[in-house]
Amino acid sequence: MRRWMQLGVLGLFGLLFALNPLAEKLVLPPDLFLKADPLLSLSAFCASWRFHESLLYGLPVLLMALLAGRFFCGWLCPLGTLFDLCAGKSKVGRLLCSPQWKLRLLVLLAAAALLGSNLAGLIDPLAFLTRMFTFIAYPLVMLITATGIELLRPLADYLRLLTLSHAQVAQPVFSLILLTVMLCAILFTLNHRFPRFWCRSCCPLGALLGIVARIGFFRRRVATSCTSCMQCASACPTGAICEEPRQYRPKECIYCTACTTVCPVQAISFGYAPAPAPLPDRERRGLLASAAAGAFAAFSIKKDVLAKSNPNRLIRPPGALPEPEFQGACVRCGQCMKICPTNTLQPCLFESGIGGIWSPRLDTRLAGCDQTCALCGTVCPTGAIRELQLEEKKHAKIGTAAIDAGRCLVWAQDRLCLICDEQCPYDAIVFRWKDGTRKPFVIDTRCNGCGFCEQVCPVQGRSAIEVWQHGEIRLSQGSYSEKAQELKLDLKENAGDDAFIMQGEPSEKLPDGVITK
Amino acid sequence: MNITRRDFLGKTAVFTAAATLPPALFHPLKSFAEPQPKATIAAVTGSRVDAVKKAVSMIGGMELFVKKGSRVCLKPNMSFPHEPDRATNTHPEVVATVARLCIDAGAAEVIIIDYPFNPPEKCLKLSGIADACKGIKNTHAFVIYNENLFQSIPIINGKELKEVQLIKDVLHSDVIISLPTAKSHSTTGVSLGMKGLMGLIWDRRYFHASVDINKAIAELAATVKVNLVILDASRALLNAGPSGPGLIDFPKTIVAGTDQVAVDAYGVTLAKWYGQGFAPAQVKHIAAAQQLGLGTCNLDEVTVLKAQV
Repeated sequence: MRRWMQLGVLGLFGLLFALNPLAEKLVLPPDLFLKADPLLSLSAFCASWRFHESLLYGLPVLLMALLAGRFFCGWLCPLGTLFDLCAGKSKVGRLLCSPQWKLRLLVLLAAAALLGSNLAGLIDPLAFLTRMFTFIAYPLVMLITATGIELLRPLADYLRLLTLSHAQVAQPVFSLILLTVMLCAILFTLNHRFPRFWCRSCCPLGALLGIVARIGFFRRRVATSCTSCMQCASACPTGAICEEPRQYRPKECIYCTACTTVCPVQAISFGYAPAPAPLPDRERRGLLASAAAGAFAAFSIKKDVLAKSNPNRLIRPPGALPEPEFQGACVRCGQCMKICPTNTLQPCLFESGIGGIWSPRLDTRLAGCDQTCALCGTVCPTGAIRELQLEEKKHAKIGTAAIDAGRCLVWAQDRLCLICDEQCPYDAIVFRWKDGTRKPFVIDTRCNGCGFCEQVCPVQGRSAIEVWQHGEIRLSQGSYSEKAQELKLDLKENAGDDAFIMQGEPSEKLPDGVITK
Repeated sequence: MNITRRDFLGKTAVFTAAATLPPALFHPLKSFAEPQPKATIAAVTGSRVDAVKKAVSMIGGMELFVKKGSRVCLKPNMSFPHEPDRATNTHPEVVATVARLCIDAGAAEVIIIDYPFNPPEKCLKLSGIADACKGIKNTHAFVIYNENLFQSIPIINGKELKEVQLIKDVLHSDVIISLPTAKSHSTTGVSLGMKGLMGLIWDRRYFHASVDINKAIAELAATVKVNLVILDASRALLNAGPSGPGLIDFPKTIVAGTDQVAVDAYGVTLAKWYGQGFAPAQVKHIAAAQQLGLGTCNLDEVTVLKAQV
């Protein structure tokens, strides 16, 4: 029964992920799992000091832990299920390192979060799994689909199955695929040798649930008929059963019920039981050291030079909170990058500092930001990207385009090119008469940084027009439209700027494709 | 029968090659030196649907172009994720009417294609063309944005272009009907039928960045064997083209003809582009097309059948 439940939940996770863009129409939110992860929401809350509804979604999971300890880990956690499925022959793992490490990690994360650095997403199981799906499963499935389509296309052409013969599927690309693959390879290789070592020794969410579990009351009970044969202790996959088999460690038990099955005298059952006497913890020093490590991590991230002056191009998604708050709230799950229809959202490596790895940025050379879409804000589990209506999102300016006259075909080589102008949805690129020819300029108040100009620039390599974060509008609350009005932005789809062409001498009025008489 | 691996591989290779080659080598910039018959085009003003029907019937009816069982490829402009009132895409009613005419004339299938800007599927939807053509039998509208759906063909005698990657459907259709909308264009002056054919090619950047775009358009128009052009000048985007938003005028005219140059030339005269208008021969790509012998832009040499509906 446990296996079926695990598979069902993993299936639900996969389904919500796959249906991501459509899931908003479903009953369940697409980011259900991430929202329900109390570690992520608590860490985001502490680091950004910003209330978000995900805190409430996490309550049932905490409540469940209050009742039945780490039931979540054994029965629900989709990463745990994958670990179970991919474990080696021996289901009862040797320990890789002390189970105390996960508590230390949790303390480290808590200390860092309280000091404003949200690192939980890097090692949280659900964020990790979502990244695995975004950066590995999703592009892989699309690649396989596309390969299948290409194989069938000649046949479909021949049979005139037009929908199939014209089928085109998006091919997402991501910048940190290799890193994700390597991390997964390490984890799953270790897991093969040391089943569920992650859950036993590393998982900070497991540690959090384990702490809550100490006061639970749905517990493992051992009847007096126990013969101390120790079979249960050696069958327990998480080492929750002590040298004295009538006792156990609630913070390790994942309620897999392996012990009840192996017990030769059926002495073990699960049900109401008072809390056992706590086993002695000799861990104060280790935990203090972890807290100090977390504090130093937060310190080194907060005081990184990039936090003060960032020379990198860092275009955050529209609606992203102001940078320090954003980094505090973002849990690096990668949902926004999965849902982005143009694939412009990419994970940072070090563009936003060492603490910003995996956080989203726009790669406007790769693609622009679709002006008819505001999906990224709808799937952000912690509200690091605000959920905006289209009109608001339009005014959530993410940067400003800047022309590099040294590279621009018109400015540098006097060629006829206008592709950036052609693509600009707000006519922010205009041609002005300069030095005897018409040359493109950017009107900053009409540019919201969408980046289509940069995407289509025909100059190879670095674009001759690039979006930089200059002029971005980042609000933690309030209306972007009002802010834009205050800044006199003009993002209406108004009549073009060609008015200038119509002034002046006829010889200056017309496009180059027309001979003036 | 025993099939050896070598046999199998060999046959597969031959089959694949056969399946991917164009049916006939494509219309390599043929010499137009022989005198062309005087071009006839129809220009009908009035409501879109009726004007399209009337214009097509005036130049001989759709049956003249679409034979029973033929495959028809329509190339409207649906490049922008804009609704019809922006006048940047061909009006959906025009596209749907032409598709119906083709089906009524006996076409086996009508494929409506364009390689739009981003995001492609939204262009198809917002332009209204997908919805307008949904109910028409054997008619399929696709936006094409995957390089695998393009095929490279050589342009023999091309001066600017040596080869070009065209949407495969164009190469495998019996009839190609170009359905441009009337727009200004900040590089080429106007974007009508011949400029619209750039929506069939994969590497548009090359046109802008590497060659004389006006001559390249003329060579492209000479390469793609367009059987019929139906220009939707029910509206005209007077400036800020091709993407707008700009001033929109309503010439309420549908122009149809087989001479791509003549239709475009007549289109130029229909509106006051950039607040002043200009003569067809002033538009470089139109003049270049005439020079290639593709048709005439001198409207004195064109019979223009006019009507009102």
